[in-house]
Amino acid sequence: MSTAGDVGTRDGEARQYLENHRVLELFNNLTSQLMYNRPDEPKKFMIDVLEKLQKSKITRLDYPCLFDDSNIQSVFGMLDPTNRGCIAFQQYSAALTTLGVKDFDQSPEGSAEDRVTFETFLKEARKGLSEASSTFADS
Amino acid sequence: MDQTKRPLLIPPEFSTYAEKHGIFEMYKKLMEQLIVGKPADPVAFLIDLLKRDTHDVPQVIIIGPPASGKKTISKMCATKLRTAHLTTENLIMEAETDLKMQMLDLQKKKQPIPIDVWVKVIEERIKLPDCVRKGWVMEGFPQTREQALAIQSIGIHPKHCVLLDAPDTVLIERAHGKRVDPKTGDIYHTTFDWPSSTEVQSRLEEAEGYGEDDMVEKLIEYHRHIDGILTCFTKGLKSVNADQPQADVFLQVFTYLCGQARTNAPHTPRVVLLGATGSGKGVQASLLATKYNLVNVSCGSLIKQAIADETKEGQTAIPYVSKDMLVPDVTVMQILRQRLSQMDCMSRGWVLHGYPRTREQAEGLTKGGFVPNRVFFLNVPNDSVVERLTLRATDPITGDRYHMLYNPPRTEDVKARLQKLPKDESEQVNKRLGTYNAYVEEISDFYVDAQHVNADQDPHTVFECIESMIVNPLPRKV
Repeated sequence: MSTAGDVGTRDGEARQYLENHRVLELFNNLTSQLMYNRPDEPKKFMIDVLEKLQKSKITRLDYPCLFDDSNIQSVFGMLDPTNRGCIAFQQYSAALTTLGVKDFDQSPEGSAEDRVTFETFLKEARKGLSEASSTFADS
Repeated sequence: MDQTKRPLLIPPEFSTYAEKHGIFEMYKKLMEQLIVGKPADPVAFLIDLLKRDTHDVPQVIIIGPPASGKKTISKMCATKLRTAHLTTENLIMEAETDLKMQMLDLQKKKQPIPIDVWVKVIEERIKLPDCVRKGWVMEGFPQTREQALAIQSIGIHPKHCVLLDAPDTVLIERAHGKRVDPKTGDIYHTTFDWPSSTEVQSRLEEAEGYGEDDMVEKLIEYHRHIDGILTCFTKGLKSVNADQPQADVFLQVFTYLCGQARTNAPHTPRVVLLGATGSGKGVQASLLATKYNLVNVSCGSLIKQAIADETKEGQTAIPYVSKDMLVPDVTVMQILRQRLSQMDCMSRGWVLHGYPRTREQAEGLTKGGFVPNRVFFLNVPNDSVVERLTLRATDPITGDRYHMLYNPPRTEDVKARLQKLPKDESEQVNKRLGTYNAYVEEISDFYVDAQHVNADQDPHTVFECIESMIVNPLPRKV
């Protein structure tokens, strides 16, 4: 199998295109939306999601995403059952990976003391999630 | 890593859902168009594609040597499938004026039309609403490998490609009697396909360029290019012998067009086998279970197992079974639900037989969330069932099973000690047949998509038939 690097062949071109426009990620997000909602009219639903995505591309706000702040909060709550208000760095990175965030801050505030606060976690998660759902080429 | 070997982490409900709505096929189509079109704004492009709502239209190419009946067959297909009918002639005639002039000019001079002109004409034509909404049947094109590659590279991938094939001698002979109706362009034949109306008869003309020498030339040209073309359409190609009566050729082509290509979409077979007693449900189920690693769910044995395990449901079933009565639907459904919702059934798929026996049971099964995606009726005439069952016997010493007609015992000793199952007495068999026949109608009303299989054949022939319908998507209804 050829890698995305060899531009020039048609195969490479196609891969490059899919990568540039983040099409595969877009489809992954669409699938997870479909899987979660299981609408009766998948086509209409997909159009809705795509239109929302288009709108948020202009406004740079409200990306269509499966998770919202309450989900982030409950994830944090699970990791912090005693309400200390902070989690360990390892928990922080595992939680973000589970949410589907790829490039998160490797040394967030408080990582040295292994105490990441809810605010830092929320900020990173929000940033990462909107990054993951803004599936279009950066213009 | 090989994509197909990656573990599928898809919840079972989603696969049912995706299968119902054809999500994977839709994705494939969308992705295909994206890669071919490479639009600058994929999101807007996808919205546009989805709004057009055209993933299921037939797209067919029919090719073949001259005088093989391409035009007649493709016209019949286009009418039956209600699609646009594209021929080389009407593509030229319906092209834009300057292109049309250019093409007609070249045709008059007997020069080939350049590929890029063809591509432009076809691309424009296929974008018109009738092709987009209803699909198309293209005939007689591509004529060379270059043309085939050119239309593929602009993203025209026919779902079906039919090759009408016939020996050259037949074609030359047939071309001799070819007549054309100048008004409609329909093609007739002096011996095989003579028009019934005298009006048409009177205006028929002999086709131009179908003399023996012309035909030989055309056939040489055809044979030079056909192998190249076929290598471009290895997927979805079907060769049909055109040296048969027209109706037969059409039937074969049409059956093929109704079938749908196999896809890579994940598919868990959920099979229900229905059939009278002795129709071979159990045999087929175990064959399917072994070959496709499905879970063989026999309703009767499940009940017996529940009784043996002394479960709650089993206890309720005991009085009915001992009195030889049908176990109530609620209990059976409970037992079935416990089995079918286990993980192996969910992930590997199942083949159920011996249930449902009535329409209410079938409805209950669907309501319980166990919607089969393939239903087969194994049809056997009553006489064969009686013959199959009443004449079989078991040797109590060796445990071997015999059939008086098909597998008779070797020696008299064995024959003397053979014993018959009380269930196989002809009275019992007839009783069971009667119950089945009383309900078969209403069940087949409920399962509209059910396939009927002639089960009065060798078990492996029946198996192949069932297999082909499980592996391939269900044929389209026209």
